[in-house]
Amino acid sequence: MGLHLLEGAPTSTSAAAGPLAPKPAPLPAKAKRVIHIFMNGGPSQVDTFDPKPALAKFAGKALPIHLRTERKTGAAFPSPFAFKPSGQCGTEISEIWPNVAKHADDLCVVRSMYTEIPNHEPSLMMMNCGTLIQTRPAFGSWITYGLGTENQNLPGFVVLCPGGLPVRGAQNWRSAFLPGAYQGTHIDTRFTEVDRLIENVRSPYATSEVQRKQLDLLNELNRGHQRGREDSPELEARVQSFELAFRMQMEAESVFDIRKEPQHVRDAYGDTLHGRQMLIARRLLEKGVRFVQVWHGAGQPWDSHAEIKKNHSRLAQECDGPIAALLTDLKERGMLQDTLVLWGGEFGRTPTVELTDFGSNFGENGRDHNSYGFSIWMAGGGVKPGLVYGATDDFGFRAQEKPVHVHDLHATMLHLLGFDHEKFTYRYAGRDFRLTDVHGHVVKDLLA
Amino acid sequence: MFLSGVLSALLLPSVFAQAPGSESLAFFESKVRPVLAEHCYSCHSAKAKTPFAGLNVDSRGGLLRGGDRGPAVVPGKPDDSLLIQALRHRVVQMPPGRKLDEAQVAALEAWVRMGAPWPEEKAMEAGPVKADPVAGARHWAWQPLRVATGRSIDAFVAEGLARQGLKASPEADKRTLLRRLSYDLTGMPPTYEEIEAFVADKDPQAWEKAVDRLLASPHFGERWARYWLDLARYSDAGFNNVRFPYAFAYRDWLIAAFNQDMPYNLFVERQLAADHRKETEHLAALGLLSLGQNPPRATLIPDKVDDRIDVVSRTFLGLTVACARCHDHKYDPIPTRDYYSLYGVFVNSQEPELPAVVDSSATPLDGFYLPRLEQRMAAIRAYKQRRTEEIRAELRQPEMLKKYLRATFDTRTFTAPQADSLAKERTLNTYVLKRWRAFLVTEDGRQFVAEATRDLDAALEAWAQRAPKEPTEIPYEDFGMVLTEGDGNTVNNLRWAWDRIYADYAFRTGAKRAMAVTDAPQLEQAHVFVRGNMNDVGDPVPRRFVSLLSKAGGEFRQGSGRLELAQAIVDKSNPMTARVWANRVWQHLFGEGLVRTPSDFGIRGEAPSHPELLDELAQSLLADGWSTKKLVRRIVLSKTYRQTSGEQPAARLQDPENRLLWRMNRRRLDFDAVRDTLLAASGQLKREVGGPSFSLNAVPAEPRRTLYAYAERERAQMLLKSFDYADPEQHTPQRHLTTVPQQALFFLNSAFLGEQARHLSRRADLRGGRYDEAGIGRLYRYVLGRVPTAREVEVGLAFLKDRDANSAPPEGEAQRAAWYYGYGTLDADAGKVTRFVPFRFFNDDRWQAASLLPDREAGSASLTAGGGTPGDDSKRAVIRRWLAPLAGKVEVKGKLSQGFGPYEQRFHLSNGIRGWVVSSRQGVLGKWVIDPITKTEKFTPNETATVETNLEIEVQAGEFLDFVVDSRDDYESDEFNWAPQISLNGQAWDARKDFAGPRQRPLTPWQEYAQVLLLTNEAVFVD
Repeated sequence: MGLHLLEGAPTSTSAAAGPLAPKPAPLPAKAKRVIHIFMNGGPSQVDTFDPKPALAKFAGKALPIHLRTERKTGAAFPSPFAFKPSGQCGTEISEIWPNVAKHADDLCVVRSMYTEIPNHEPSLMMMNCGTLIQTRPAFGSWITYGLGTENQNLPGFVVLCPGGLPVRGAQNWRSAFLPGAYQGTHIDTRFTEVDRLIENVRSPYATSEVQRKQLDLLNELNRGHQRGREDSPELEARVQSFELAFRMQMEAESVFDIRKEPQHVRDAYGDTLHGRQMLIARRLLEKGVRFVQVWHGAGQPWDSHAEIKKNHSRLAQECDGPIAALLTDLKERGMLQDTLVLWGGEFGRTPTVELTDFGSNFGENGRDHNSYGFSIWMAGGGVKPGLVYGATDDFGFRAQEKPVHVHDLHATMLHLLGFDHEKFTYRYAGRDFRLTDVHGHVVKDLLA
Repeated sequence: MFLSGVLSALLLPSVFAQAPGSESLAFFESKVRPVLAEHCYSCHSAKAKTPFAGLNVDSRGGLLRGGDRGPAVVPGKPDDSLLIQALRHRVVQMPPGRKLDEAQVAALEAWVRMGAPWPEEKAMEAGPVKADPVAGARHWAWQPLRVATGRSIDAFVAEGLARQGLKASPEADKRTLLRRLSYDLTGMPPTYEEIEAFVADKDPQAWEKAVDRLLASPHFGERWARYWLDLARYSDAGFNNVRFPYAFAYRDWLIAAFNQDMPYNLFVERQLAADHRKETEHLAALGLLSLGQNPPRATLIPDKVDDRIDVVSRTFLGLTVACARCHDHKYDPIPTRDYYSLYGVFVNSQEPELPAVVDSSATPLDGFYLPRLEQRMAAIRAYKQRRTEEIRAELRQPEMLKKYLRATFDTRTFTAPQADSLAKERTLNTYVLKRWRAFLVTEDGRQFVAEATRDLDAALEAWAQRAPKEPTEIPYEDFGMVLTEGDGNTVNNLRWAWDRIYADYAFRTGAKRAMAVTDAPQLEQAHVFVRGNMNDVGDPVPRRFVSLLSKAGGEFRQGSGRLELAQAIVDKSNPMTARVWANRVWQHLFGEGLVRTPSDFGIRGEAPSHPELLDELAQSLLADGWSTKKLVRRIVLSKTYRQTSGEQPAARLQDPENRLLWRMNRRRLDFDAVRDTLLAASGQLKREVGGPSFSLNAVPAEPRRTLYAYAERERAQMLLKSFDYADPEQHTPQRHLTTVPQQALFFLNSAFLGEQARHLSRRADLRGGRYDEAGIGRLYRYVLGRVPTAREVEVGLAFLKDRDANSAPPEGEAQRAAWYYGYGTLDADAGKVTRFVPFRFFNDDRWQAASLLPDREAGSASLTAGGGTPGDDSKRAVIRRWLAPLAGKVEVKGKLSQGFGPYEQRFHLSNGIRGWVVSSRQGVLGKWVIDPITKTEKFTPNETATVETNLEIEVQAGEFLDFVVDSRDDYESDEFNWAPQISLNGQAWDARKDFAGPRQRPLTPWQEYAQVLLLTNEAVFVD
């Protein structure tokens, strides 16, 4: 049943069915599109969605358990933030998320996530591509490969990241061995002009009237060339791709122009970098883009090795309002039910304080990476709302109750999108590859 | 079959009366098997040489049968199961020395309670499908080559066609043929003149002459090297975007190898083992191995080696050996042991600290770079030395001594992997503990164990006082084994800083060194990693070739064994190498190989369309002394190659994919050929062969051939991606061309197309400024190599006429820009800027002298909106120039600043900078110096040194103010900020806000028309 494409087999792409033409999911699906709000750098679970009062008892003292992470950590470090029960469901959420907390009844919080290595690079690869190091396609590439995209005038997999590239750069949204059409399109949302957002999307030379005339001439010349070559659909495909590009210029221009939104919507998101980028994300989803990944920023902003209180408050403050606005907006538009929202980082942080050490940490009062346990949440798209699933140990160090590996998360998300993660494969280099490699189990309890 | 299945189900114990549900099996696979595999298999599995206590826990049978103490599991009864008791440390203590997590034990307990469900054994052992040994042995690809017959290519093809009642197509016209041949052999179109000359040549040998001319072209090597670069996952930069300083030397070597028609067997051997042969001039060939994945962590070495195994086995052998990393290959007869045999070869092949010298002649830049590099390298060594000593001292602290002595005692009966796990558990260093365990076998060690067995605490006290020196005397070379995270980061950062300077040196002085590899000084024995897990070490395996293709024995004995590997690959008894290469050559000439899975000739690959022909080609390759050019020549001289790509409706119905070759395939140019074609049409293409890479992103475009474009793994360019360019991360046997609108956007809107349209329109100059048939004719000849038809002229003229009538008059020359960006010389004594060279390229929001930094002459000199980087010395200072448009009083405000990070501060990476404001009329108006901030404390945040650069002066119209920054003769870490604001007579200029790249002006109608021709299908498809 998998969507096989024989390595080396001719990949004919007729004009009608380009590589991104929409395809139905092989199985019944609850979610049609995905937005991954990526807190790159790794938010601390004990400061966000996993309250651990027991840490207070050990404040400044060694914990009974100690796990080895990238850098040396010391005594227990209780969260400087208060948690309160939110919504009908009473999920406890840190005070740094006042607006997201209002959506507690929509959230499906997983507190027992774990991954494999407490370093950014492999964990980013695991979260985005289901592998620690090797070259594998990104989640978004798999999805656009499997489902195509609804709007042929826009890329199917869009990556919003303000200020430049995150760690590992484009490897996070690579199509790898899948055709290049499934690669994520990175957009630096620090810019506001559309031609800086998408490469070559606007002509510096010609108005669209002039371009129309150029295309008419081009079509005329191409028709002459096609005579006697009618058996080559790829000639017509290229003709059509110019027409598509011509329309895409206008579509792209309009989708990134948030001034087209009513004032109250723009106010809800806020006129900040994160507000604007989240609003663009919603506009993309609404226009039929299959997979949107929204990064917090270039580098690894959530990597608070020092001053967790100051840094985590600031970071959450930047995106709390926009994320809440997105959830409200999706709901009001009736899109939340079939849009799968994923929030989280590539791993979590230690409940212990990181020690200052030249070369590894130049500051104080921070936390190290933690691959043993962390939290994510999902919303919409067929996940069970108002749920808290799994648990870490008493101190938030390691996933203990119902642990969920990143592969399990991927398997579950694929399930929601209408794929059996074991059968959704691509033949490459003699093997049928899967997003989940040879791992992963659908976590049924997370499904609505 | 059915009956035996029923019977075995009946004979199973009661809990298995029903097959275990998928839920419980899922639980087993996720929660139970991984725990057993990780913590128990190394001693208690069929893979362990002799299972400890006779117990195997890698099968249900093994657990039920149990070991010396009886059954380990009683299904449904955890309290009666020895396994659970042992994990709870009740009866025996397992795993030795430590306890599993409560959650893990609970999971195993729950599993036993469920009845210990286990998936059917057979399916388990080898994965879902077991390679079928019979079918495997018979597979076509590993049969010996058929005996050469001397039959022609056309005879084989005709035979295949005749069987289906089909016929080949007639020979294509000469125009089409030469265009096809030029692209296939050189990746570039023929010129109009070349086509005309060929058409006019009535010599019956005309085709041979054209073939030989193009085979002899230096551009043949460029085109075919590019194909090879796809296979070799070529990248100019590796981890963290740090450049491989001499990657381009590998590319140059490939070009030369193809141009010289290096025999393919030597071509293979040199890429694997030029160092073994001590062939200095061929060391760059080893780039195939050295330019791969290079993650800087010891735990990722298996992935790095995997990358080598994958590239080598698929490129040369068409075998997907990497599939056998975790289990035997599921389809092909490649056991996991073969994978680890090759692992042994590549894990023992390392990149030396410095690239190998190929050409030791001096360059003018040696005096500038070499002492600096030496000094930096000395600082890295000194840091490692000092830290090694500190770590030794830490290990001599009595508390540390006691910890390691205790661990030494506790692990006295352990295997090495067990000792490693205990070390990890106690956060001790596994390597240091290994050194300590060597103490056990000494006289003193035995004494210590004896004492410790009597009274552990007393023995620890006593031996901490007289501990042996040896375990803690960490040799300097083993610093990597004991460093802390901070040390690792520090060394990596210093090394990367060094690499950046070194790459600058390499890019400015050419291919004087090679990214070679050498054998490890001490060879490491490779073991199978059970299920690919490096912590689960299985049997040792010798270094040798894949068993499928090798004779018995055949262990490699010379160092890493790379030379022997190469020899085995090109050994004539191995049919794969010649077949795979012959097929690739065919693929590049026809668009598809005879085998359409060019890097997978295994059972899951596609069978050849013409097996006899493939063997005949492979035989001719061997008979011609592995000459690639002769093989190419043989193929392009065939009638099969010279057919038209025209339609035969009946044939298409029968063989829609043209597997039988009833015509030539119509092909679309790949990105390299497209871009080179556009440059050739516009007359801009530079034809020099070889050299360091340029950047595709710069404006204006550097008109070098596309294969020289800089490629890096971590910044895949969307442009290249959208054109299905080879991914520099992985072996790419074939580019699968898709058609997406992003490609059309590039043709319509990119700066590159605009530039080429302008150049082309200028080249086909409109004499007298009137659109006419002659002008259109010139454009057609440049772009399409032919004259236009009457109809084409007609529609062209109509377009031009319409556009001319409706286009706005060309925009008047805008107000002369106030800012200029360049570098040059400040003569401080004379108070003058004596040389100003404008920057030519704009790339990534930066003005610079080359499309890709460094420039040979100007080095890293460059300017951004808010600042810049100076070049080497005062002759290469960066200059932001402001032109006063009128006379008056000028007020200049600004801040010159430089940031210093912790490494800059602690390791004195920068010596600071100097800034001046110099007037063309009045000389030096101001001078400022920024001295470096240096600190050595542990806790060193980023710091910035800033000076104010405010001035008030009178200027005259046309006077320049130059904002000059120089590096004080050491440009490292000299990125600065300086964005002055200027006011004059109520007008204001702001360096940051006014900063812009080259302006793109609208095209004229004539240029619009030229662009359309560049966009036509005819220009990018080949019949």
